[in-house]
Amino acid sequence: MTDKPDLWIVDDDQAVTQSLCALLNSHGYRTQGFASARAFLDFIAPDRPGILVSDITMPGMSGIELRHALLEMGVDVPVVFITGYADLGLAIQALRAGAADFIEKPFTDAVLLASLERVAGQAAPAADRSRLAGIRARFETLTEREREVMSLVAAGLSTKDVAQRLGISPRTVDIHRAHLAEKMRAASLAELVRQAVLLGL
Amino acid sequence: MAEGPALSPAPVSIPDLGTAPGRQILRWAAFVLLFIALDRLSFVDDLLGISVTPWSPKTGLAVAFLLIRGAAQWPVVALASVLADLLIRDMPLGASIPSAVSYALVFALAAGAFRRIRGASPQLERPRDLALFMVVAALAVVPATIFRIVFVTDQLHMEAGWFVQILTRRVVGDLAGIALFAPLFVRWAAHGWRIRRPSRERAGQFALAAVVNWVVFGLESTDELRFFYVLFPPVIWVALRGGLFPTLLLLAMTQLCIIAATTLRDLPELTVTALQLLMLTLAVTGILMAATADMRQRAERALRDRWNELSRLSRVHATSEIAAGLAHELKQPLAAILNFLAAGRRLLDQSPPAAAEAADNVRLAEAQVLRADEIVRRIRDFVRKGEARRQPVELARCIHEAQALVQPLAERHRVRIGFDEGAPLPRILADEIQTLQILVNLMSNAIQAIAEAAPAVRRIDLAARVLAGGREIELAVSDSGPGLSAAIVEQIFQPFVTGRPDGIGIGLSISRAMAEAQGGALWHDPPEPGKGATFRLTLPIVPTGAHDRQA
Repeated sequence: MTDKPDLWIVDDDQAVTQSLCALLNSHGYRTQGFASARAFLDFIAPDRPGILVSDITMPGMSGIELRHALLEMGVDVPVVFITGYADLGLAIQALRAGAADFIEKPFTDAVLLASLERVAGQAAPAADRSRLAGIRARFETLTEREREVMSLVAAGLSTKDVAQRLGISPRTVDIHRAHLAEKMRAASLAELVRQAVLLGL
Repeated sequence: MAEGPALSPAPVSIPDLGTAPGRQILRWAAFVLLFIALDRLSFVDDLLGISVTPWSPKTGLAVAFLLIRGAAQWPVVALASVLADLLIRDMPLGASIPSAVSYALVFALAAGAFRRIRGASPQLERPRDLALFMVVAALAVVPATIFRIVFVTDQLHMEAGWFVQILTRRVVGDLAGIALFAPLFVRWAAHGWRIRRPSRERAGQFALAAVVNWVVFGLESTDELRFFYVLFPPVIWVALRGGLFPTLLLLAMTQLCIIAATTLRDLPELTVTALQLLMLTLAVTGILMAATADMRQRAERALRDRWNELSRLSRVHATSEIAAGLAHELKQPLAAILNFLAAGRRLLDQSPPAAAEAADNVRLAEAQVLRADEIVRRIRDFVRKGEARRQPVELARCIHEAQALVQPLAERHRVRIGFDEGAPLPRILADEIQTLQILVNLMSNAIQAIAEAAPAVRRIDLAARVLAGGREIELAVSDSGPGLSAAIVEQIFQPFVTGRPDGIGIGLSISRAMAEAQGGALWHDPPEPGKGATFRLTLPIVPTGAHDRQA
């Protein structure tokens, strides 16, 4: 049990916080729920080991603002964002703010647990480096057009906008997107965006 | 149906009893029997084999039959006519057959001609159709009658005066029969005899008409011809308020009174003919007026349907504006449900299973299902179809629902909605959905104005106050946005004017129309620099007396 990190859960929706605590408790994590970003800031101190699971859209301080506030305080805990808005712009903002992961609500426990395990494991920088090398290697296999599409998609452009920018049809963009997601082994758009962020696109 | 292509160009959209030959024969038999019965009923006076009746419902029936079933069915009409002559007037076949064939053919040609007129509908409901139909009928009745006289009487022995007199009476009687009964029978074929329970007004109309008929035709002291005009007001009243069908029934009643008077009181020949002419005038006036009234009513109904549809579409549009928020709102309980269930499953998988804790999680999941259901209900209620209906509505509940609908959008843009209820709110007399729609429109507009301008303070304030006199309540919706720009302020309530790039600009114009339809108003305060927009909505309060009764 002791090898599992503490989890802090911040969501303004009480049911979500409560259910996440129940779920993660049942998997042997120690959890603590907070109803707002402010409440978490009052609680946290530097050097406390743990992972923050936070909603993004909240009244008052948003999850992304919380992340910035933590960094200012010198608290560098990994953050997994969860959000009900399937909004690419939001995902990119979150990942650029240094989110460890970005999960869309509702999610199954398997998705969340896998993410938490990966984030916990990522603490070792060597693992991160080898992962980046893998992403680089896969990026090399993309065609020129696929790279263009990937960087535009990761910049938050919709399929239609990408098509317009590149002067090709939206259908073609979709085909490129499917191919490059396969080559990059990105199961979700969030994953693709994260890879793009790591690659510095 | 065996229809001649030349005579009946277009199929009529009238419910068919079926196409089986058995049905066809049944329909013919029914027509023949009804024709003979009507002939017997209206057979009053016989001049040399010409039934010179003051009315002729059988001709109305025959024309309706040819109109609906197609002109090619003229042999059935001819057969009915021969049988009627044989059974009622004991007429030799040598005279009745040519007479019947000419009668059937002339009206078949008329029916076929009518249906070839561009745009004429055999449903005989619109004034233009009815007027055209009467003209065609009048043109057909004269030759039909001449043939009848020629074939049935020994015209060599007939003086010219006699001929003209018989012709006139017969033509007027047939025309009255067609004008009155053809539309009735056409309606019967299309809709059946659906006579609804008469309203109080309708009962009053018919009672008045009965009294007037009795005064004109029942009293010896009143002269039928000079007093006939008194019959017009009830007919016009029914025509304007009740439409075609009740008017036709009332005219039929008047017609019966004329026949009763002519047979029972033995009125002189000339009076009867003059009465028939007056009756024809009354019928044509009443029918055309009623058809016009019907048409206006249909147009009004179509307009109302359009309006309902438009306001619903605008609600759907409003929903799409708040949809992202609502989807998010729905994802919260869904996420919680998944988590609780996964936790429950995990607790049961342990050994020993933690059943009690698992059950707790299931219970918590259930509560979240109900929460999700409530969100779905709210959206469904908001976009459901339905006629607008004004009734007492709890204003507080309405505001609460509207607030709940826009809350997710507000949260997303971090706008706080404040509502100081103060005193308990009264009930308003309004359509609930439309009131909801106005409030949602105003609040979602305010949220988007704030979201775009991104001011430091992000809030919307609702305030309610009962206006002096206590008959209306005023709701003010104020936002901390940039306020209305001078460029748009003049035309903000006009359709398709919008300050937003993705807006379609019907929200406010529809909101104002809806407020006015409920006896209220919607306007905004004059813009002041540095202040947000304030919209004001007034709605009528349920009168205190009605309040008590309703409670």
